[in-house]
Amino acid sequence: MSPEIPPSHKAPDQDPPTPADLEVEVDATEIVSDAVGIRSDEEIGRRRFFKRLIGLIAGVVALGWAVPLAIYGIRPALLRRSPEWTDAGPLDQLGVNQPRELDVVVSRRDGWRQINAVKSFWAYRTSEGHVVAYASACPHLGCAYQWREGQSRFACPCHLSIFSLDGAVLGGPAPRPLDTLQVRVDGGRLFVLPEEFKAGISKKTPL
Amino acid sequence: MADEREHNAGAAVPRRGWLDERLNLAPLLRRLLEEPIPGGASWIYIFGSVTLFFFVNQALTGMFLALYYAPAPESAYASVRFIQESVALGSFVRGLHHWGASAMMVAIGLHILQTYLYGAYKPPREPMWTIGVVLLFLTLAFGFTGYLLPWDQRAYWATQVGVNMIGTVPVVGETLARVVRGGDVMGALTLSRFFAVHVLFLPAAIVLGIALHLFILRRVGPAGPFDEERARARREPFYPRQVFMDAVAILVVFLAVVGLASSLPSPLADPADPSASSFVPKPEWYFLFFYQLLKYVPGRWESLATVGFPVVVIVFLFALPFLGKRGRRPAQRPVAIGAGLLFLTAVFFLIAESIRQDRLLAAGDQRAERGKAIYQQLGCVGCHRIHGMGGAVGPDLSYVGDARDRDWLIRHFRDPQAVVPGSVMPRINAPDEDLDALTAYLLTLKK
Repeated sequence: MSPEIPPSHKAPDQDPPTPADLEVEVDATEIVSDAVGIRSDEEIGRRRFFKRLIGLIAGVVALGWAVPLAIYGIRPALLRRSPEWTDAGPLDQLGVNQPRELDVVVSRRDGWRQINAVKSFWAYRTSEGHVVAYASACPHLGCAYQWREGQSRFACPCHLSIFSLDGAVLGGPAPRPLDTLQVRVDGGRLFVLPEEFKAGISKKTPL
Repeated sequence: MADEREHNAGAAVPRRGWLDERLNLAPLLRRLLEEPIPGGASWIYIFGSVTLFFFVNQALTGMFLALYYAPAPESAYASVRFIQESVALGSFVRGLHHWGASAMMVAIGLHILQTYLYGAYKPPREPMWTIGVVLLFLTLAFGFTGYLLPWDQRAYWATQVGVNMIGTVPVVGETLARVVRGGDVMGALTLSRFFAVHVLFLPAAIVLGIALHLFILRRVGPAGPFDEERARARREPFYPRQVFMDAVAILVVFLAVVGLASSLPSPLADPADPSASSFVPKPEWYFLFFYQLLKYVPGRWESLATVGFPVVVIVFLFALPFLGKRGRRPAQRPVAIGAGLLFLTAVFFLIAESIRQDRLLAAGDQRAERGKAIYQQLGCVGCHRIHGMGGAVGPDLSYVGDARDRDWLIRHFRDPQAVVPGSVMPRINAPDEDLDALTAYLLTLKK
């Protein structure tokens, strides 16, 4: 050490620990402050008081961070976006009992971006004049099924699930009928709610 | 309570925690908490802990901000706006980071002030001070790089000015500026490297620096009071009283930052537009004194201020602990204390002056804006022409600000014929403040 260092600035290690120091067994947080290791009741009470207050403050700050940061980090991931009614074109493009795959442009938010995606669905008119629409994903594992004109059936090429015109499972591994979509007709145009559903389970559940 | 009494009486009953029994924490904790403070605990020593607290705050909130931030010119601004407006508590978390950054600067300032005033940088604490100075500049670098990330007008133009300042360094300036920018103009590469530096390089460096700073503190011990008598009179361990004081200070500053974050929105201007050169950039307040200083420096001495001044400050800070062999008392260090006071006075004067000029400018703008409305209202446009708009009965006012001063205009409004005999201009019977605003507007009409 250089000579200009005043005596009070010697490194603290220079007090060797006394044997008494090493023997005292205490709760790690209840530390004896002086080398002798004797504490009065008052001293113990004082230390306990400080310990509790420090713990309380640490808890307040930790919660003050943890709660908002957890909400901030998790909330947006749990938000469900609700599908919007989307124009699918004129109603007269649909034939009676002749399913057709229609495309709609669905605009959705992707974080800070607005994305336009093309989604397709199957739709036909019944002989009573209603419109029936199915989500384009096979309820088995989400493949795109097709309408087999000659057999009047929907068939999925992936795992060979087969559905009737009204969506019922005729064969293959599909756990549930085709997923119907909500439709409405307004001024001769077809509007659809382009929802998606979980694949592989027997109950129709929105994604 | 009972077992503590027994313990006290000497019949030691070991009462150790579950983890302590396994990891033998007591000696470690003792070593951490028993650090003796010469002269005892004091509120004056809280600033180091408060600074460390804010570092943790910046690190934590920064990690969470990164969840939704995308560092590219096309996405940076939109993602920050997304955080600000769409993410649950997004504006709060961003506020914690924004106000936390400012608060950290304040804490560092006070920490340095205390160290300086107490002469605590003197031997044997030169290494601790040196690392501390490095930490200061790392923190300023955090401020500079972080400021660009929202990629709004403020960010873009303030950084433009900052990088151009680097460009005024003699000989290597241009090269240096290119390296900082990642090219010859600001753009995607500037943003990506500022981001990388802000969230990867600087954190690594500062964590190392903090660890060293604390390690040295534990090897050398805290300095304590500059009064040797008082330092020797009493020794008190770091725990519990100093820890308690630090904790109370941390709670207070935390609540303050929470209050700011939840009541004042963090600034976010329009998206960066490299072609909108009329934007007047202003740096964050902790660079404001420097920004203001540049206003007083004539053009040819520019690099003296942009380079010379920081170099002098840096050299002074690093050399400080090796200057002056006398004691730590302020009375023994007239030069150091005098220089410090001068520096502080200059900094506060410059900040105040910058804020004052800004206010004046803003107030002037407002008055001129109102004056413009009054000009339309009074129908001046019927006789006078400004940049091709209006009648040709009276003089063209396009550059009236160059031709007339305030006094002349006001006198003329009140009684045109007294000032210009034979003038056909009618008197303007409007309250003084309207005339004032009208004058302010006309004075903005300059070449």
